Amino acid sequence: MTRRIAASLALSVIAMLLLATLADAATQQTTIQLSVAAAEKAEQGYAIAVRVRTADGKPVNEATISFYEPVDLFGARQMSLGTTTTDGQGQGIFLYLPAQLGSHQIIARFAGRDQAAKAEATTTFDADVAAAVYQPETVPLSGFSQVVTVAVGVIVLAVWAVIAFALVSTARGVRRGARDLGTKGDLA
Amino acid sequence: MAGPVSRRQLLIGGGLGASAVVAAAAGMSPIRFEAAAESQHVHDEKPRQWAMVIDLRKCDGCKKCTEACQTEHELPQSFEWIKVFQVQDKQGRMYNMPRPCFQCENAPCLKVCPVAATFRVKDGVVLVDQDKCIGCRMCMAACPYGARYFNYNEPPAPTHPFQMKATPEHPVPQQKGTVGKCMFCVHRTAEGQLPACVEACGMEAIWLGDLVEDVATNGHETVRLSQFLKDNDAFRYKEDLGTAPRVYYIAGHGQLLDA
Amino acid sequence: MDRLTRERYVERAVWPIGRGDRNFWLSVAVLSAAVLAGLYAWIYQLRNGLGVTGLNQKVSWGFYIINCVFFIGISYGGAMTSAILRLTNAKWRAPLTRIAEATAVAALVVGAVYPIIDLGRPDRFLTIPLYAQVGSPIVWDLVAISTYILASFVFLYLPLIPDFPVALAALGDRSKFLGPLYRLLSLGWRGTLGQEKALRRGVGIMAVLIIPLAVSVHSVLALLFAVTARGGWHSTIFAPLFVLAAMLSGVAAVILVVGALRKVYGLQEFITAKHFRYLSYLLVALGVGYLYFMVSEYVTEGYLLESTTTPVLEAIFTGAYAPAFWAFSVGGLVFPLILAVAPGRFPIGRACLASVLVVAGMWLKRFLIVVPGMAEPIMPWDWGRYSPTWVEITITIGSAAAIPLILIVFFRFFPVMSVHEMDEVEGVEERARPLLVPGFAGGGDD
Repeated sequence: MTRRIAASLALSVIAMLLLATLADAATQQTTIQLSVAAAEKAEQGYAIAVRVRTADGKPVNEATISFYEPVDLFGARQMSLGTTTTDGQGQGIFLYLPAQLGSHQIIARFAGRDQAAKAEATTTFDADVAAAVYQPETVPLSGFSQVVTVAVGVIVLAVWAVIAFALVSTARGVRRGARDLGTKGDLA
Repeated sequence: MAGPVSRRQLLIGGGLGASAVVAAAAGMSPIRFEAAAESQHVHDEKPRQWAMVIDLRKCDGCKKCTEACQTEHELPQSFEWIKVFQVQDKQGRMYNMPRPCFQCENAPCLKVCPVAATFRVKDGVVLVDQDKCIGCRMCMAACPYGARYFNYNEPPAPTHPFQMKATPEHPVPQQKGTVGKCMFCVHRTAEGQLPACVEACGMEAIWLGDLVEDVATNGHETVRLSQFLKDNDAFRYKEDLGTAPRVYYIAGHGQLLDA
Repeated sequence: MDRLTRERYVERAVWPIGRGDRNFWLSVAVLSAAVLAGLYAWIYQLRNGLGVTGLNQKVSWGFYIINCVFFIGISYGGAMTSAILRLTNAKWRAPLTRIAEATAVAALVVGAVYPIIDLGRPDRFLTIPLYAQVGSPIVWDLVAISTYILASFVFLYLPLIPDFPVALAALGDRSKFLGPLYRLLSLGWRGTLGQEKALRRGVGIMAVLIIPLAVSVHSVLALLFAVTARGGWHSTIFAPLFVLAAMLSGVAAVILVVGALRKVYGLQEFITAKHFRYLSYLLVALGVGYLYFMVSEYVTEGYLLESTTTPVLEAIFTGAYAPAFWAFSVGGLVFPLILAVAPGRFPIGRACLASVLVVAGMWLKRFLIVVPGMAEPIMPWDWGRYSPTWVEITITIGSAAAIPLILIVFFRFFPVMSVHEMDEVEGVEERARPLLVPGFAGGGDD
């Protein structure tokens, strides 16, 4: 009786070990094919296409691929661009409109899962389409304000001129009048 | 009998006035409608437009950002260039809101300064030249965010033996009788370092970004700035005043604190 | 006006000149002591910085800005009584214009110093014209106030020209220095037709010009507040509100100063109850106008109850600033206006009491504009607080004392009533004006 139990136990252990090795053997190497092409519509920028397959050629579907771009912002960093999920054929598209023209390096990363190891691919492309350059908000009515300011400045100067005129002309008139002779104001 | 001024007198006055205008205009001191200047510090070669993102889902109100800023710039205790507010929202929840200077693109403080001591540099940061500031505090009245601080007293004694001359980019030490404020640590960003508050934040809630390259980092993660703002419905504080702030908030009430 | 009355008029107008009696020196001593105390406080502040005031990071404007607006407002009495009454040909203004114009200059000079006292770096004050940013309300202030000071001095000086011979006659041979000075400043006035015409034209131009200038100064002071986004400040009616407030406090100040100097210099014969009654009408008209502006503002704000303005309204109607607000509205506005205009006895006394209340009330109103506007929570924080220190209070008292000091010293040298204007108004023919004095500017007798 105990021999039978021992035998089934041994068999289950061997079976589990076999399954484990089988499962291990099932996690295959993954490859990501990465290519960049112009998107259908120009304002969408570029279509980054990925094709994820295992070493034996089987497509990896429902795989989440994360995209990064190396940047130099207070040190070398990797800017996350977004993700896409592969379809039944292991393919996915990520639309990317770069902020700037010029050379861009894209890293596609697959975190890995059962039966598919993690993987990474890199490509570089030259962008001649980019998002509009950031424009700080222009202050409204700035031209008009300048005109108003100049006009006020002219008025201020005119006022000073009038004050000076009032003072100077009165002074001169009084001084000139002091030399007059034979006017009504003279007393006999 | 006193009477009104005659037409002839007005014409004479006007003529004299016009000639006075021409004469004065020739000798007018250079007037600037907007104060903007080249900054003297060294940029990396890229054209930057700095912005900040503050994630209110993550701020725990520890005020390490405030302390780091005060240490970095040798400020007195009353100077909270980045100030953490405890706010209660309409649903009765308390949350924390750090407020640096928003470096507004349409800054009221810049418009009202009589001597252009407050000016903007190419990368969008608003600086204060404490060698020019006359201490009228009109900017403090005009700032709708209370982000400016006046040196009523002598600032604290310097903590380091080597006293560098203060510049608008590195206003250390502060000058008595003038106004100071957060300037996005341009003295640090020029050397490739993150601002003191961004580095000090233990919750990684403060991000510094560049609107031109469209990237932002909090020192740990790096994101595409415009996408980050869009995905998280970022907003700007008191935006309807038309100030166009450079600091974006991700709405929250500390819900990611335990995450 | 008969010759005897005119002689008495001239006599009273020049009575204070050269009269250094005990009352005069006592007043000078007391007022000077107050002014010196104020100067000491200012020097103390210059040496130690603005930290010696009660100002803080939330309430960064306080007594000094309040006083600037207040004293410049007081100066509007000159524009009102002298300029507007001249242009409307109100004859009763004649004995008052000199006092009003002198008060205006004194108050203006005192008020114009306050922005400098308020600066954190007053040593850099003169850099403002160098770097002037034309978009800044502070620069507008500088331009408007300096232009108005210039105009006020000219407006005081021009009608004074014909009075210099009168003053000289009164001083007689008592002063060696002043004689040549008066002769110089009188520009050789003899009352000839040409001179009268020149003077009339100059004074006419200034009378017309000083009114829009006065309007511009207080409008610009109002814009200092109104261009910010603070509740209670960002109001479209601020500029006219400030101008009307200034005119109101200016007329009240003129009533006070005229009332005081009338007693001190014995001018009762020429400044009568009639003058006070007319000034009271002016006071009440301006006061009612100001009330109207206030109502317009508070109803507009109080109806919609926007989040920026509501905290301020609550504070002044029912909150921390309510006692000050109601003291001003009732005790400083409604009650004195009724007091001034009600028929009955003691018109002069009532007018003066009403004016004291109005002047004090208008200071309080400026306080109620500046301090709640600064203290209000513009961010999610508590209300700010402000309590002035001895420095601010002493400077305030010193500056207030400077105005009567300037006036009594001024009238020691210049006639307290404008003789020439009285002649003009009374239609005294040039012929009959015995203003020539022996040995003065060539000729005449009597």
